[in-house]
Amino acid sequence: MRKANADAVTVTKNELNFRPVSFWKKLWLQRQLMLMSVPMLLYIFLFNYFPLWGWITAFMNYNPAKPLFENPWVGMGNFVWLFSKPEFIGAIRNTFAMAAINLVFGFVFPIMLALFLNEIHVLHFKRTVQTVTYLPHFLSWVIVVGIAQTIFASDGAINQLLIALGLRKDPVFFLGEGKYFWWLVGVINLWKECGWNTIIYLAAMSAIDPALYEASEMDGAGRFKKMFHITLPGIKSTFVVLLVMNIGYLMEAGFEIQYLMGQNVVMDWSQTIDIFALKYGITKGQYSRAIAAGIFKSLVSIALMLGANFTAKHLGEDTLL
Amino acid sequence: MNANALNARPQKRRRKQRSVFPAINTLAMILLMFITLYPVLNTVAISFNDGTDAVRGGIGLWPRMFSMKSYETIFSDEIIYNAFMITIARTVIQTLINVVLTSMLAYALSRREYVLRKFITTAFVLTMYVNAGLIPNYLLIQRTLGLSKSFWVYIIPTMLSCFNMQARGFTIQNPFRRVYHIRDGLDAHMTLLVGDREALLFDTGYGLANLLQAVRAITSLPLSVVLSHGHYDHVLGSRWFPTVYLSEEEMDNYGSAMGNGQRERVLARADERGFRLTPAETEAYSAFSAPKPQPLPRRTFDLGGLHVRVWPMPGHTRGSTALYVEELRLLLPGDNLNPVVWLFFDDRMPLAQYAATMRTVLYLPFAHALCPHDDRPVKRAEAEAFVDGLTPATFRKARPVRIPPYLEQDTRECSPARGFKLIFNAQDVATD
Repeated sequence: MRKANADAVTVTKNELNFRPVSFWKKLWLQRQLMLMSVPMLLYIFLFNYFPLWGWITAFMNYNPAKPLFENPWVGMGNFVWLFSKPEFIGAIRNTFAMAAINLVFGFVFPIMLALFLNEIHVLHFKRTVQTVTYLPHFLSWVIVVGIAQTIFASDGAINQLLIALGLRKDPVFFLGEGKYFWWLVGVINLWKECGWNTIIYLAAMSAIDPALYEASEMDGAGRFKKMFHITLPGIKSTFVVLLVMNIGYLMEAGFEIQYLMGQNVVMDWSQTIDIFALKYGITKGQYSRAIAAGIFKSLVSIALMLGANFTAKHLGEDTLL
Repeated sequence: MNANALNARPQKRRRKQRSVFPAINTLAMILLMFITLYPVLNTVAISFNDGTDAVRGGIGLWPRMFSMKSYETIFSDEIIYNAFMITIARTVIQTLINVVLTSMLAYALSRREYVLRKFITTAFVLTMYVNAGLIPNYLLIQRTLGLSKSFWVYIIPTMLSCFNMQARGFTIQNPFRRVYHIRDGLDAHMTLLVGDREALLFDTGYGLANLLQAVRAITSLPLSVVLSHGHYDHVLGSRWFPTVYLSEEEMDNYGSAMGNGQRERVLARADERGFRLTPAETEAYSAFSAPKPQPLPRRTFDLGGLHVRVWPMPGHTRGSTALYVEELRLLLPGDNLNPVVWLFFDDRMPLAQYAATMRTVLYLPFAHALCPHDDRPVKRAEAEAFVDGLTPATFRKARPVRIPPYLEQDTRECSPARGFKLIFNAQDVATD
């Protein structure tokens, strides 16, 4: 506004009238922009927000065979049932544990890999490493789980290696024992996504001004000093945005991998909230209880995301919202 | 401080690092590439190895017994071409629509003066975390938009791509062309084969929900119903059909399966599993009288483009029958093959006879088997591994196990192959 006043000569009539323009008038002036955003907006309202209407069935004893409002209301009954069920508490624990492992692995290792890749100056070699490490990202979970089951089997490569190195006498039953399940999921996720997650950090690193490195070299900084004092601070804002996003995903431990790898013997450790909801909703037909589980998950996710966003804002970082 | 020392030390350190670090770094990266590639290459090597030999394990980066058979099997199955076309069509159309819609939106959002910018951004960010969940989404697709069973269900809501069709009380999978594997509310499966002129239903499940209606939702062709054997979890659903076929040796089993005791057991289980029935439905379930089965003819059913052979398989029960679909190389083994095979009822065949039956069924060139207590098709290699595991050595390794409500039986559990269990009566080992 102020700029427009100062430079009055170039101000057109339209812009002079801009000050009192109402929201609706502005909207009308921006009708082309609006037209462009409407299709996608409709799409997400239809497929992401409209189904939220179905949440009311969580407060009913819902039977899909009946018209919606003929189902009896049960208040918070389904939530009470959920939280009195140790199986559900176990599912929450598993979801958080696996998501937390994924979160930590998903930050620490890609950043480390990016730092070390950044130190490679033979361009072809760097490219090769990058391409190879992000290759598994393009494999579907069905294939990855198939591979993992071969590698981690009692006669698989990992056990052969452990025995050959003399670390174990008998094979470890990675796939059949619950205590390994979370870490197995963490490691498989890491294997699949580490290279892919590196890309964004490498991009952030390439945007760092080379003059900073030159200056620090003049001051006698070594390789690791430069990593800690220039490279890492240089990717801090990328890191924070990703962290905020991923903390919101803390309830999202993945679905396919647990669904594909979780056998009955490891069920106590593998069942996540999503699988719990699938089991009760689709297999057992208890729709209302499954929806209640889904609502719980969504609410916690939003709370986590808003919390992280708020914290980041107060630390003076770029945020998502 | 001595200026020389100050300059010299970092330089010395730097030179030392320069000589060692890149080497270590390069080695680490090579190791990392190996870790990334090994599992993939290992899988590729196994895929080029002979199937039976691969089960022995121990294949590294190169096949031990080179064979293209796995690939021949896959590419001789016409389903893969159909699946491939769907994948490609889906990817192309979806990418096009997504790119057009998203770039239009992205342009609008890139204009800082746009008044709806904040609102739309927030709406989008929230969708990453707010998800109404499986069932509300399903209801939207099914009821409101009427999209299920149409190709567009893959395009429009990406979310729902992997879910199955649902008929009331049943979950229906379509693992092969013309084959529907139907799971009822208490997890018994039946299989519907749809030919050009006729359809055939194998087994009927617990019969709680209207199976005829579910079948009619898939096909309106004339229907024959064949039962694998006479146990209650396979035959109670006969109530929905005018005639069913059953092997003559199984008529006694059928009679006792229809008894009130079994029905009450099913109702109690339904209640426990949260499968809700109205009082009228419960009453109808206790009161129905099932059709008297027709003796199963030893003939091939010609459904039009699908020839279904009847194959006796004495094992789980004396009169157990399997079906073999020739065109699809699909075996429906009844309860003789399941993730958990039960071989301890009074009319079971002895273990040796069961093993012989299972070896014989391998003469059929089936590629897949669909089992009554498994969602997933069993591949031939898995069935072969299972049959190979039916040895006295496996039986001797069995552990005692108690199966409620058959606690009076001395049951033993063994695992002939990975993913399979066999539960048998301890007497059978002693006599073998």
